Amino acid sequence: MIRARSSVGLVASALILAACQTAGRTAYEAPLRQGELLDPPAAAQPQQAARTAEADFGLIDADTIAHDGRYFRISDLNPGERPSAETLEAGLWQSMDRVEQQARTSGNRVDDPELNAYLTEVACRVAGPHCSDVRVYVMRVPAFNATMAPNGMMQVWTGLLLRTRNEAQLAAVLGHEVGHFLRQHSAQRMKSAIEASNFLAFFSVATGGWGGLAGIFAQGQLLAFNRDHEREADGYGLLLMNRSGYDPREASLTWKNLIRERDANPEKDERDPFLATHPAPEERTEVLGELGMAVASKMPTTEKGRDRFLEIMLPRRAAWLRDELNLRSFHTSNELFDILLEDDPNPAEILFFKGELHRLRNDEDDAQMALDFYGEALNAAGSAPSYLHRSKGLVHNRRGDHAAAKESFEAYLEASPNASDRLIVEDMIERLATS
Amino acid sequence: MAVFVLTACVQTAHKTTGTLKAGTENRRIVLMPVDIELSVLNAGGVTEPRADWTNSGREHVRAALSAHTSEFEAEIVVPENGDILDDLDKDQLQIVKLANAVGSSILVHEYVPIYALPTKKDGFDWTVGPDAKLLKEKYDADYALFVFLRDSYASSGRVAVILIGAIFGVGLQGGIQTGTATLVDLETGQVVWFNRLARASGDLRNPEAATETIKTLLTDFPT
Repeated sequence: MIRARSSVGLVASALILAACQTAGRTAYEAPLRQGELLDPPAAAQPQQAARTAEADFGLIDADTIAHDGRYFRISDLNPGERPSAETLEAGLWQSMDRVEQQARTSGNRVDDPELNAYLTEVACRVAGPHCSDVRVYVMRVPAFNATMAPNGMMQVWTGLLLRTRNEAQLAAVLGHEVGHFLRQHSAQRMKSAIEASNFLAFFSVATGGWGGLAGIFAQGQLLAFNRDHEREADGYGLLLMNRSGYDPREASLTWKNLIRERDANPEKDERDPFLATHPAPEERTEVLGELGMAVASKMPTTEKGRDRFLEIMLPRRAAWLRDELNLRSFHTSNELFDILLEDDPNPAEILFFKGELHRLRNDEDDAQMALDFYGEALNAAGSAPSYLHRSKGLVHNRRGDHAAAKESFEAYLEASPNASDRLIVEDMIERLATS
Repeated sequence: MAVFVLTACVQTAHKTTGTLKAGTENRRIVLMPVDIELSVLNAGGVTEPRADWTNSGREHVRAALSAHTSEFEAEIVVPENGDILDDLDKDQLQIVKLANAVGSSILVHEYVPIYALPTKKDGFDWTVGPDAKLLKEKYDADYALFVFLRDSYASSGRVAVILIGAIFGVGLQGGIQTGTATLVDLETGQVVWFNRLARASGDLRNPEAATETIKTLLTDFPT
């Protein structure tokens, strides 16, 4: 009995190892080969392709996925096409239509018309003939992410808009999401999940107890599948940037910055679920960097669209920066603010928020650090929010410097006479005057 | 097979605040678009939504609802775009979302004893608030009936797994039908009547069976 079990265990471990094989770089390159943006495979390439084809799992070319020893061809959707009602795709679309209805009236949604019009414009430029298939919703969430539903509902989080630095970087992300849509990745994943769980159900009842290992196998398989989808979508992002004239070299820069943010965190979680479903940021920076250069060399002109992008984002971002503060993650936020300061047209605003990080952390030297940053902000180019004076007043008050606190609160009311907290601040000034 | 095993669980037990207060002559009930999804339960237990089944299920349910409620002593309002909420504005949609949220809260806190709320022990008292008036204005109705249905059917693979499981003495779930019906007084927002359905029988893909489902769900509707 024990022997029988251990041989099942061996088989299961072999399956787990096979499951972790991914198509890797081929997945990034496939869309670009399809778009004739990469040179035909060099002499060494056919071998590599043959090896991938032998693998249990992965992307064979732009239109073929190998899975479980079987080959699936996936065709792109035609513009305006809806999957026919009896298909799995149609079921997913219908479910997502319902989710979209909820998203449309979600409390998290930012329904600023100008911002939405701008994002729709960039998404349309990237999606080309599929413009009308994609609907963008801005969601107020302080993290770097965008999502794509199979029915064309795209959600872009404000934490992403805070971190991208020009229109080309935004286009790289939107192009990645459009890639997920065109390749119907959700439907593929659903099919894969159904197959894996079906296998699991039979395997579990048939082996009477080895279901746990089979479960690990199935999960590993799904995650590997996910990572290849992300790679393929990255490749699509570059292809669509090429078609819409955006500088494809910008795609890797966002990842470089995200690595800096992650590494700044002394308590970083190595088991980040994002990393299970996505390739490592290091891999994406490297591959997107190299492929971005290759694609750019095929383009007569490339566009970054920095001014246009910042013109829309800068007047709106104070709210997103406040959301970032609310994460109470000092080190990563501080690193993010330092990254922004490197090329920001409004350093005064960023310096103020660096001060806020210290005021809110309130460790030993933070009061002084906060006051230093507020001072720097007042002398820097650009303009800090008027509530800088209120924050300054709060720090002085905390230190017991009542005269300076009173002065700052008065400066706040002078700079912002219609402040909604005017009565509270007036009351504080009165107490400080009599203390 | 599982269907027969589990039919014993069939039960509905409505909750109500009493009788409807409007006079019979001017009592108007709007049938809100039905929130429905039909799916197939695959061998491994993953449910896969089926658009074609959902579409026909929705039609059957709507027809059954119209037919069944026409016997009530009330005037039934069926919105022009009877299946979609697209012609509602943002604030009206929030009321629909709220009514759905209240409905699922009722399901959890009124029907599952361990989740009973200490603040709700004196009678049935749930409301979506006075903004329900927004729907009253929209549909010119006194009450709104919200119906929510989920129906799943075991695939042949699932049936096979259930049979193999049964040999080893493991009980596995087949397809299930669940649903709620919430009647809201659009003047006050008060939920005046609520019922739910949870069973391993029924088939909304079939018009007659859909009629039976609606009849069961609307048992003891306060006419």
